Amino acid sequence: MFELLHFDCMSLSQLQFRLLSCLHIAFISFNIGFGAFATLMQTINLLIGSKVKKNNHEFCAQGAKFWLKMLTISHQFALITLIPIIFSLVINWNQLIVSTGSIFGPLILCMLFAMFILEIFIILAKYLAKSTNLYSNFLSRKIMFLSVLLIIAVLTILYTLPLVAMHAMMHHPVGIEFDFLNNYGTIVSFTKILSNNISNMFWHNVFISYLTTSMIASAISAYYILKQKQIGMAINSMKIAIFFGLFSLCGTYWTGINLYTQQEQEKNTTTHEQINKNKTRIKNGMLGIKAMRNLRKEYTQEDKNLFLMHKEDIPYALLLRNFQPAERLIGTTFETVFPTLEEISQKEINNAARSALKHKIHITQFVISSIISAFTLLIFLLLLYKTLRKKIVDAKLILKTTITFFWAPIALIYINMMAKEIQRFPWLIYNIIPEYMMITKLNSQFITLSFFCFFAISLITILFAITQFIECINYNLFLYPTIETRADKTKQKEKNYAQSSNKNTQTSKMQSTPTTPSALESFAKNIASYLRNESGKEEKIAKTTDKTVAINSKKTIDSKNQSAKKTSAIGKKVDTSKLYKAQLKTRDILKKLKKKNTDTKQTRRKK
Amino acid sequence: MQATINTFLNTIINTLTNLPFLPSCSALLLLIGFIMLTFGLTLEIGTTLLHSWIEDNNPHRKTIFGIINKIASLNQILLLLLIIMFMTMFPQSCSALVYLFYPFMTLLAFTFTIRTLIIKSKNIKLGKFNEMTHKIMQWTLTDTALVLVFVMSATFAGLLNGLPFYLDNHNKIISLFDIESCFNIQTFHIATIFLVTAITQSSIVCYIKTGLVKMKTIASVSSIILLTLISLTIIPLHMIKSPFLCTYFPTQFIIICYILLPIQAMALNICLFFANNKKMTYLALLFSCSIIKIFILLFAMILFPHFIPSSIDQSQHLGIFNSFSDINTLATIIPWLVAFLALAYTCILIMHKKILK
Repeated sequence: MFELLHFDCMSLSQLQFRLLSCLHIAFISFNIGFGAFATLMQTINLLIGSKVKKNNHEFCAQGAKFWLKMLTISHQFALITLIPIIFSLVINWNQLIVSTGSIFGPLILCMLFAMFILEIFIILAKYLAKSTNLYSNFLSRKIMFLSVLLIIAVLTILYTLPLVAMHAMMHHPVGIEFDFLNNYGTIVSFTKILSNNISNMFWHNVFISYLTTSMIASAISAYYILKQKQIGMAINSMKIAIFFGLFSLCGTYWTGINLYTQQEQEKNTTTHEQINKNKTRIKNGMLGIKAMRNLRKEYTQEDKNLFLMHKEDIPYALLLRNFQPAERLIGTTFETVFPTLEEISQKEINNAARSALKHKIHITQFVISSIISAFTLLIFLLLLYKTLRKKIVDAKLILKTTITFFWAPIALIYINMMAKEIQRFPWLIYNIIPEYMMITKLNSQFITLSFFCFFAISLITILFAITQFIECINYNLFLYPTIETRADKTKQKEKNYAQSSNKNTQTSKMQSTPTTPSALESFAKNIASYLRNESGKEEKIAKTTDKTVAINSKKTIDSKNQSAKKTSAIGKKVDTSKLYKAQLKTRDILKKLKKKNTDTKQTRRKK
Repeated sequence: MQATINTFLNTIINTLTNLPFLPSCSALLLLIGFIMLTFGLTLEIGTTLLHSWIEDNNPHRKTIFGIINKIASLNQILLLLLIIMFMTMFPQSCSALVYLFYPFMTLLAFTFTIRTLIIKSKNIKLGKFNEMTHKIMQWTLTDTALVLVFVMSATFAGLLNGLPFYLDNHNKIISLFDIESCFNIQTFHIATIFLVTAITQSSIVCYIKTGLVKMKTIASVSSIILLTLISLTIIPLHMIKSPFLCTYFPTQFIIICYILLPIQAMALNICLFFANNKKMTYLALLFSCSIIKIFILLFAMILFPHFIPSSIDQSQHLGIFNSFSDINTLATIIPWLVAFLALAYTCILIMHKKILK
């Protein structure tokens, strides 16, 4: 089957890597955005706190919890999508590891380090969010939660730093050296790589990710408003999302323009003369390769000098391989790919010289991205208008459009990424390593096998991610009950207090160990009533439990084993975990009873 | 200020680069990381298997899944870290391994991602939308875990056999790999030992946590199977015909392991017999953990200082001093990794304590 398909190794492995990285990047952007959103909600919760708007304060607290949950899901998927990326790196880009493992490795390690610390802080935040004292007057706990969320928000940004640095290094290599003789690259300075081209690219990516999450947040809150559940929380989060989205749009616009002007300046320098320069560099590079080949066989000073002279031009000559006929490349190694200067035609050199230039960004990319950003701006402005006039609940058309076009900023990310990839095409690291050199030297059959395997993985992960996010949204509808007024809330509190006091009395009754058989009967009844209150099941089940427990309590006086069996039989009908605890308690009581009986018997005998 | 910092950093790097044992130090770090990962993985696989055996009505189902979720999230990062560690520290041997185990690597990636997807999807309460997938995945969960164990053990055993390969003049690896050499009695033997230890370890943990008698019986039965399996290790180990192992194999170490492993298994059995006492159950857990660690140490000692032994030409072995990365990168990475592994190990300890609570 694989033989029939006849895919090119290089194109397949490129496609595979880009598909997987697209998946991963989406989740990273969600991470950054959700982290920031959760911190924003918590800060508002703290600031408004004990002031006038009590309801708002609670809605914000709920929102912080909800966005933290969304963050955990996206973080999990970011982790899961990283596994196939690294495996595909190892499998399909094998030569890349051999030659540039010491360049890319430390950067990926830094990324993982940040990820690991982020995981720890997420667990901590979850623990703090779960604790019941969090939203009472205990202020220090609140501040602690906020500080943890802040650290998470910073770490999510830091996690992207090595990724962006890697991307920037591929376009503008700084702080590395490549030894062509041994086919080996090394890091010269780590700080230069990390700070390379960071001012524009890094912040542009961060702002885009903020924009995507603000759009998704507004879409989710619109869904809640349309369903007329959690309206308070939804409106509050919508307000924050709109302001946050507008702010991030300004940021993306500003950084995007800076990037575009930078590229325009680069364009002006690349003229027809540059192509001629490249041609001469290719010819010099051919000489360098010849010297390199000789050096590998025998060491001579002449070859060494020639190699050192044309060392920087060698990658330009290596580009020639892409423009050679396919017949010449079959079964070739590095030695046989480059015959001599005479055998290569002028046309091939011309093509290679043109391809060595950085591709111009097509105007359509800029137009599409600007249209999308304008569209998102329009949506945000409409939402803002409606929220300010307090008519957001009635504006169903706008809400529906926000839900349907939630993917628009994500498309913006992908367009940006693909444009960058196309711009760099024949090079893996610009002006240093062409892409074809880094691919595994295996048959296309093997690579097609891995391609289909990873394609299946990516499809499954997308499906799982969608189900997870939808479930999280639907589940939270039932998690937080709607809070209407303060009076209702106080009534509810009173009710809860009364119920809890009842429970306490019941449990205290249960905890006290009965000594006589009549007391044990009453104890069993207490258990039944406790279960009825706790489980909240139908009356039928409660009645059956009442009866069965009563029967059991009578029988327990006769024998220990029978009662244990029957209580386990009830366990299947009622909530099992609670009954298991009750079962254990009854066992203990029975043991004590037996002991007392034996003691009384012994005392009687003595008497 | 910056100049002083630079000089300070340069002096540190220079001192580190002058050290002769830097590659072997990185290999040691790799080994520690690998032992940590296996500890986590065995617990995870065992708990997943136990989870599939326990009925739906059981109240302790949730607690067992709590154990899996906590360990799985940490194991995932550890796995990624170890792959990248290997990639950066020993790039050539990493590429050689890929050439040799290409189908295995793809399978590993597939199983790992799907397994983690299943585990992570159960974190959130299941609604109507996910009920069907949940039921389907319950069946696949055990299968993936089994495949994973067999793949891991097969790679180990394959390395032990001395996979045939050689390097040409331009460091290109030409493999003469056939799958039949990997799947023999020895591989299945090691695989079953891994699986049984995983079950014992996790069942002991579940017994400590839940107090179910069922768990204790599972643990005791599996520990008896483990004892018999370990006592039979002499037979498959003697079946190795590789000339590399005949020359480099540390026989003294193997004798120690022959004595140590059955003793540990015996101690495990005794501890489980008197497991009503809480201290004895903790001791049993300790013994079951150390069995796997000693197994890994045995492999490492056999291979040291070589990563991949070639059976055709003994001068072509890919070893620690033969295929390590640039010395500057090693010097910069190792301090980071020491800190990272310390952090990871403390995390594992905390999680372990939480589980035992």
